[in-house]
Amino acid sequence: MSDLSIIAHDYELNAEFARKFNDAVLNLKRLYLLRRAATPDTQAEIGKSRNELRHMLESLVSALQDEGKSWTADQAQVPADVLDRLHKRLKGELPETILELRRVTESLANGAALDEAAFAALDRVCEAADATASAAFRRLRRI
Amino acid sequence: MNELAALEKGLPADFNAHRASVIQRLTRALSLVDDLLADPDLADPLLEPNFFMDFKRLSELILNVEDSSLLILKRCSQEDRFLSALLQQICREVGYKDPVPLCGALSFQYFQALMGMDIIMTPQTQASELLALPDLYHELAHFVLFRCRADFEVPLLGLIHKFFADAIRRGKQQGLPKASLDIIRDNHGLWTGSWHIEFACDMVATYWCGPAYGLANLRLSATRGDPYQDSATHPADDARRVGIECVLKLTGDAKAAGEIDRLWQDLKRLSPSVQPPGYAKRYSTRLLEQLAQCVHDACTRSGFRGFAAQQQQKDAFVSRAVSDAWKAFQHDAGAFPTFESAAIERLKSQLLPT
Repeated sequence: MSDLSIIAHDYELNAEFARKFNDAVLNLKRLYLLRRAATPDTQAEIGKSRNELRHMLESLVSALQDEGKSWTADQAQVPADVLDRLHKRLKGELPETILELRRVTESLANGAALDEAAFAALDRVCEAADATASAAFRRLRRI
Repeated sequence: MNELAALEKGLPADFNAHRASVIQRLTRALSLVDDLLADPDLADPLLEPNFFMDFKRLSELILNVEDSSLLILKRCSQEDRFLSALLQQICREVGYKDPVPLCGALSFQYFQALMGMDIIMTPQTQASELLALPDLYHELAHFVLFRCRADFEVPLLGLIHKFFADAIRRGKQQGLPKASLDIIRDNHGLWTGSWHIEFACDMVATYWCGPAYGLANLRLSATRGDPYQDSATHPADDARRVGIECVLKLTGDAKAAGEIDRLWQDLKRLSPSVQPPGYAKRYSTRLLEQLAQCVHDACTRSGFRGFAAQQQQKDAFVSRAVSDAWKAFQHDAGAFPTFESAAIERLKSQLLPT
């Protein structure tokens, strides 16, 4: 009934997406940027992170290049606020970012390693998702 | 954590269950903080920003616990106990199977659903009145929309996106100017932003609560002024009324929908507000009918009990109390305070037996 119920809904969706995306990126950075050797314990974790990240990226890429195409349920996995923020932040860089994110998605699907350029694009998404969650949290607390 | 631990004694079972679940979440959060501090890569510049993001989500959880769970658990007034017991009973009656949120009369901004914390806040006086109780069903519906996104929100978004994509395509074919197409795009953004959630919560609440929800919406709208005014988070009250009536017709309550409509026409006659230009296009009745059908089907598939089914259940006494309250109010508003006090006392004795 009040605005707060809607803001609470937005915050939960945004925070969950930000947390999941960031955790997956963090795990993969350890392996591919810091070259930490994967142990049997971390192997499963890495596989899970690759899988989750690929699913989130597929939805994100599909939602970002939405213009003129039919909407699919898969796009609902990415909160609308995150998409808005990415559109505003990336502006002219949007086409290249989409290309890069699509390349990362393919690497994840093919079992290939991720390079620095891939993580630069992923960090841009992490930052936008984090800023969106923080903004919703501030609205929720009216600060 | 210490404050939560100290609260155990004297809390009723539902409050204690909430306390235990919050302690569990905080324990997990603390363990994540320990892992973070012990991580050998914590200070690595490549990972630092990501660790900082993790930290922010954890600190948000702790602040949310302090602001909502700790507040309601520390107070745990008779009113909060009654409202929480009332909400539990509502959940049983409608067939809501997820953990029941705790409820407290602690809001300074009408009703609020805090999905992440499993809490609903109501106005201070809610424990002693019945006519606004349908709004508690609306807040419970926010939990359904959030937790069952795939069954409720996602199909609605599909309908809305298709509706506006078709409108844009038709507009282009008709050679509409860019300004007109931009208006359609703005409306599209509002509908997919937050409006679909509010419309859907109204519709689920109507499915559960029946005509009383439409009447409570009318009452609330009468106190809010302009029935055509909307905001980024909430559609116009008059459009919400149409959505509610659509569900009433689908549940076989067309007569009640007609009566609510007649009362609305009265309200609009008294109101100095006029429908703004573009209003009819902004709130398509056809789209609301499609959403109502979608919500109705999702409620049925989810196994929720509609208003009529609850009325046939002997033990659905909250559903009956809300419905009877609105009938009594409409029959004799002057005698209603006496009726309401007695009904509240009956509910208290049923829900919180001494």
